[in-house]
Amino acid sequence: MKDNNEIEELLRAKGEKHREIPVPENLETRLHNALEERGVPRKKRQGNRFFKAVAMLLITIIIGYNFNTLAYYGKRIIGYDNIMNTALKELNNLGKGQIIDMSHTFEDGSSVTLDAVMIDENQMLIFYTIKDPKGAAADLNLRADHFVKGLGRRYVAKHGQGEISEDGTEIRWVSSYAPPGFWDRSLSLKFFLQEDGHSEETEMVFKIDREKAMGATLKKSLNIAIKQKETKVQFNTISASPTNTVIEGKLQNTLELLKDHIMGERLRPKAIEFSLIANGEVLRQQAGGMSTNEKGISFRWEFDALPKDLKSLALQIDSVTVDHDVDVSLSIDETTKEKTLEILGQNIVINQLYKEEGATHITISSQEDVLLSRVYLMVDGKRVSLKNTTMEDHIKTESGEIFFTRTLNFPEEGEEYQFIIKSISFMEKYNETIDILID
Amino acid sequence: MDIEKRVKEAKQGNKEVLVSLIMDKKQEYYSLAYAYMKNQEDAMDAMADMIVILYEGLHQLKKETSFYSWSKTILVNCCKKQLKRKKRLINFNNVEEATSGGLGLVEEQLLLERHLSSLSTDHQEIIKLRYYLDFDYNTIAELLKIPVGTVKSRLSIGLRKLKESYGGDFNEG
Repeated sequence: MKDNNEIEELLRAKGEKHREIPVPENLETRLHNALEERGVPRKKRQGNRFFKAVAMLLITIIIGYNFNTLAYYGKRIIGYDNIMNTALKELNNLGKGQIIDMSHTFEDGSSVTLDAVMIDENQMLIFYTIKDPKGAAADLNLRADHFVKGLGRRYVAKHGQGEISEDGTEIRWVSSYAPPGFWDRSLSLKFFLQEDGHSEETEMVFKIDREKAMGATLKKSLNIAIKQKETKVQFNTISASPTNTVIEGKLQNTLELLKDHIMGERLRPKAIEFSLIANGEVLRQQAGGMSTNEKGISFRWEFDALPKDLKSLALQIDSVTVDHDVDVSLSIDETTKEKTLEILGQNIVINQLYKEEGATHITISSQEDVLLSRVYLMVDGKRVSLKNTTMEDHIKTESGEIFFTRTLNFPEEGEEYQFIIKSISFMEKYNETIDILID
Repeated sequence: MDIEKRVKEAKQGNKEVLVSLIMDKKQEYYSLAYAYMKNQEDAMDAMADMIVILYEGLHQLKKETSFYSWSKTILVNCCKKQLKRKKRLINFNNVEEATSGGLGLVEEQLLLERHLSSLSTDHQEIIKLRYYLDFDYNTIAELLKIPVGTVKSRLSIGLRKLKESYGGDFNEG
């Protein structure tokens, strides 16, 4: 019969995980959407609404005017040289970017300009500039919305890169959004400025020039699956467009639940390291993301665009980081010095334990990829959670190995200590290269 | 900016600020919704329901500083309402076992979940709020709008029932 303590311990362990459930990235967008779609606007003061209407009208007029002139005369996007990679620069030189050039000045004198967009099969790049005449553009809480709105659909922002000018008056941003559907001719993007007790927004509506939109250059399913002892990596698709290259796949563990349980350890893959090599050169990674569901972990990595004269293409898989549940309990105190602990073949050195102003600090070293992902300290029978980790340093040992030293800080002090390790993560090496056939 | 000021601004109808108030504590809200809904989609749906109600009812909130406890009670009610709705709609499909973060949950905790789901909803709720969300008695009482004494007795009965449920499975140790 399980006793109460055992059940409570189980519940607590479950709770610890529960409170760390990853919050979905699109939650914020979901909340915004709910307010936009279902939120019944409360009565506002009439004056306010009137002012808004006038402001909107003014913007629309300015847009209409600028759109025509600039689209005709200025074909290249100017001022983004440093944050455009080679492929983007080339596309820009070919006039593939669409100049928008719409601006809005906020009450405090700061402004935003939607300079241009560039659209292809994989993404929609939005080029915009934030200006602050006071020279503190980086401190300004002025940002583009998380999505671009189309006809009944929203295109979510994925990532972006900005460059601050030397005098701090300007930031140039290139943000990547999901590509708009072919039916969307007109899109709108909002910008928000938030300051103490004050917030302002502006919406810019622009037409898409479909003639400038670009398709895919290479799109194929990969069906590559490779296995190591504990994990399996599956590459599903590659989709290359003129602006980037997207690789999607899955991570799984190779052990079934039952076997997992018999072995008394549970493991789950957490991260993957791989490169995409085109014509013998490693392509720069632009972004990467993972999502978890019941079936496993999906990843989506974005790289620079493929070279035009593509001769060879390969995937180099370096490693997969795996998290293992363990149950290690170690009595330690201030006399503990350089004690080595072996967990699942990984060496962890407890360098020392010291107390300071009501807190206890434990310094440990391990190989760089080894991480104690869930630890706590029993202080005189009381369970104390890890507060943070500090003082990180790399040390080369006599045998030439690089060790990573850090200090775990626990916010309580006592006499008797039990160091408890509940899970540990480290890399499973793959070091495999797989050629992708180009037809 | 302090919470009071931001809540006041949200009261004026500023949606951005309202969303940011929630996003500041997104982990707390999401974990709470997940405890009831047991999956990502439904947890987000419940939060979406909540924010609409918050937006429409914010002007009724008298004390700005109670924004967080007030909104969490609303979230719990949204979850319960959705669960009721789901019960009406889905009866051909077995509700999937809850997974925390997708992969971390195996065997012993699956078992725990199974035993837990054999309890009455009131008992499940109280156990989850206490252990999964680490709320103290007062917080639970405030959240569910019930007396602290009821929280305590309901929790101890819940734990006893859970133990009894385990009794059939474990005869040793």
